[in-house]
Amino acid sequence: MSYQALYRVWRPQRFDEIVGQKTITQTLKNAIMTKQTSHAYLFTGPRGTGKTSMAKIFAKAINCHHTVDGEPCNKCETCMAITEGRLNDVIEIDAASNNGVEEIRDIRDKVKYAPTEADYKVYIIDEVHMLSTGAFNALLKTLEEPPANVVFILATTEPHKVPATIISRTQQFSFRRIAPQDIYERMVYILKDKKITFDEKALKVIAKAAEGGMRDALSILDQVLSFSDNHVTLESALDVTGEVTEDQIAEYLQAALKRDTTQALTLLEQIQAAGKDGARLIEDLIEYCRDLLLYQQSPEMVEKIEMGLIDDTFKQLSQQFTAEQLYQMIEILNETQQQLRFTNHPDVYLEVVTVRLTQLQPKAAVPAANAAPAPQVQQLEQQIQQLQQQLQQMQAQPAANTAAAKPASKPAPHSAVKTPHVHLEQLEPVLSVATRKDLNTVQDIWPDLMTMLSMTERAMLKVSAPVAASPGGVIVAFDYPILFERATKNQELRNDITGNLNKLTGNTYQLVLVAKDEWPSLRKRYIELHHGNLKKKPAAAAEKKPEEPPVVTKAMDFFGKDNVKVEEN
Amino acid sequence: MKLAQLVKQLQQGKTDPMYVILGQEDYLIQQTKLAFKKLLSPDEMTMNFGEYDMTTTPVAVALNDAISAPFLGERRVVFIENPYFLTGETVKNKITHDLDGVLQYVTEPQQSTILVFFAPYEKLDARKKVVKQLKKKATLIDVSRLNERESTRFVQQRIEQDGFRIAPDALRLLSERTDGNLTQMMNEVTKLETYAAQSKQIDAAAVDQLVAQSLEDNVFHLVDAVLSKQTAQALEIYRELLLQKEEPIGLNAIVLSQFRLLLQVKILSEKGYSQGNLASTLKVHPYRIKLALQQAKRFSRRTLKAGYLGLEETEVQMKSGQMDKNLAFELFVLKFAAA
Repeated sequence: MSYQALYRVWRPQRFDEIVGQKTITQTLKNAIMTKQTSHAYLFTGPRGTGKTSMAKIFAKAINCHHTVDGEPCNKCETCMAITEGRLNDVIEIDAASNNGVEEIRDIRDKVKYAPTEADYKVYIIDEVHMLSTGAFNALLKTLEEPPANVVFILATTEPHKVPATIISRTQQFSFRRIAPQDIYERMVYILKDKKITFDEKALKVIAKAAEGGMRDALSILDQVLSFSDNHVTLESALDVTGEVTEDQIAEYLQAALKRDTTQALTLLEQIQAAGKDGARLIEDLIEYCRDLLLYQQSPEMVEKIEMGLIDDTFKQLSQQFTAEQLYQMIEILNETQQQLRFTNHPDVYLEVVTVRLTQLQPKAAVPAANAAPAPQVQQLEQQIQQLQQQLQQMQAQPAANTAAAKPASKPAPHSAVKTPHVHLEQLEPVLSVATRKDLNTVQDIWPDLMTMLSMTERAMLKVSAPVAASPGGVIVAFDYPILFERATKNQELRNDITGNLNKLTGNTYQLVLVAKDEWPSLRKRYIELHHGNLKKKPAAAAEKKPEEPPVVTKAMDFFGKDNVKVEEN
Repeated sequence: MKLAQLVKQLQQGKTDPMYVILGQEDYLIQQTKLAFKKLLSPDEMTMNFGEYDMTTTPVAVALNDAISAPFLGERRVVFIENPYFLTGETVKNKITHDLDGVLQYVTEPQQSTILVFFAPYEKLDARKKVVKQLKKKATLIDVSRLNERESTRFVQQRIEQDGFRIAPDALRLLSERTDGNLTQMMNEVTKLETYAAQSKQIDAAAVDQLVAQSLEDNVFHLVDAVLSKQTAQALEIYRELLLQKEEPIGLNAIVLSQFRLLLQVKILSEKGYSQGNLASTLKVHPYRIKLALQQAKRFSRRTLKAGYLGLEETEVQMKSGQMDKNLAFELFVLKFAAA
């Protein structure tokens, strides 16, 4: 016999074998035992939750003469015939492909004839929501006054597409998603029967990926089995589900937490080398971050979904990241996800995002003291206490001076790095002679400049752009304060930029870096000062004048201030 | 007359030549039909029973049947369904009804026939001649929609008649899930009774498992979970809805509109609007207002506003493709709960 897929071999044949729908099976069994079956049933629920299986078992149970506690015997001629699908009185129709009025009329005409072999004629109409309006109306007539000994079982994944008139004439059962635990147990049962060994974790990964559908779970399991020799390993399960291992993601995020760019980039390379799709990686990262957030708010739900797959790293990470950071990361990742759609070079974006994640915020570097609500506050409090103590000590014994004072003057840990400030004076020489033309030249050669830089430098400059230029200088604005800060400190980077600019243009430029957020205010201040110097208007009102209306500043931002001429009309 | 009375009279063999069954409660209509059909033995059913839908058959055909004498039996039963010509309604179809014929029959009905008009309308057009005559000659049975309390009582009586017991919280849940609709409730009761065939006890857990929640109901709970910051529950409901193939944008819109209603109710009730005023001002069903008032009471205006604005932003993100649709909503829930 040819190979049969697991979900077909293991299709339940008794009510008790259906997993996770206890109340429904109980009700149907009772109905059969007490002979109070309805003439029409509507089974609704997500795919792979047992609707069709239930319908078939019900067809058997209602026709079987040897039922025990409402269960079909599966041994008599009728049961076997139904299982094999050769009983003429049990009619299975796929409404997805027979959705016209004609097909339903056909049913309506034939429904009048009494069953030939079995006691009841059972019509199983799958995917009933696909019927056309006309077909529904035709069906409605039949459901309204069904002949005796006919049972309709309608199954659908989308109950809201079924007209209310139909629903009100049926007994509706909504099937629930099967809990991962139940799926897991069923797979264990099957594998034990097949004498195949397995990694527990592998089955858990499959159970999770199945999203509550038994058929999905068994299909995945089937695929996994096809390339493993009598042993289900975690790797093969991950390969089939296409998930990057949680470990790798956790490691990656840990690197981000430690602000270890090199480590993160190496990890990224490894993940890519393993053939994982970039988009999928981003998706997994987002999901992981979301789970971290969720875990911070309600651990029990995550535990339920992940079936205890939560490892200590996950818990640690959820404590170390602040919610704020996670939102920020998700935002960055999300942005990248959009960018990935429009590019042929996902690698570049993945690397950029890696750099961005690892340099998220100075705060990220603070090793959070075990889930304390606000470590910084604690630190400060401690410092204050220390200082108070020292103050007292000093007052007590003014003689012992330096030794005691030293710890007090010890700078706060690395966390409190201040963003360097750009002084207006630095801008002065560039801005005073800045022209649009110069800016254009620099902007033109900017992409060339980028290609001349090394990978990490490029990643950093990705978010920067020249905003003003003069023949002898250029002002570069950075999108993110953190990158700006790093760039300022990075002498090598600045040398490279000026060196390469020199190569490209032949001019020697003086490089001034600013943060983009600050740029508009800096420029405004400069303009104010400048105008003030030139015209020296005494009146207070006049001083205000250079402060242009926001529209004008905005326009200047867009077109360069030389291109904007304000006319008052 | 009420249905119970009618059933009693029919059982005693007291019949009138004409009945008008007026109202829209499907379950009661079905019960009435059954009661009339019981008057005839199965053999008679084939010859002495007729059922005519006025949207497809001219009334003349039904009247023809009604004036003929019963065949091998005492009486003839004729149902006329959807007699829209008794109302002010205009129906677009080509069937011409012989209204004079109806009037004539109504003035002098055939005594051996029971003619039943099933009028699933709120009221008839009392200005029409036919209606005036009918009101004089026919027996009117009221099967109009029961309100929530009446249906609940009806259901409870029925359950007790069948020898079952239902816990008060189970009954409440049942009425909640079915929106107090009698027909739906009765439909569910059969199912519940089958489930509890052995124990004869219907508890809230059984109702929860067996009675499907409507989308509105689910969304209501979703809103409640979001508002009370029960993240886990909110996300669970949300994911459940997605599995039922609901569109995230659609869900977002429904939740958004619920938040909007809550805000409106909150603000207006602070200004002293009563429940009735709110319903008419906002043009929203009073029941929804009632629920919204209860919900709005528990939350500050700021919370509601924050939620409303957050959802709006989520919608923009979804629609402009800035973010994965499923994720956007989940993030909103998390953010809202963290705020």
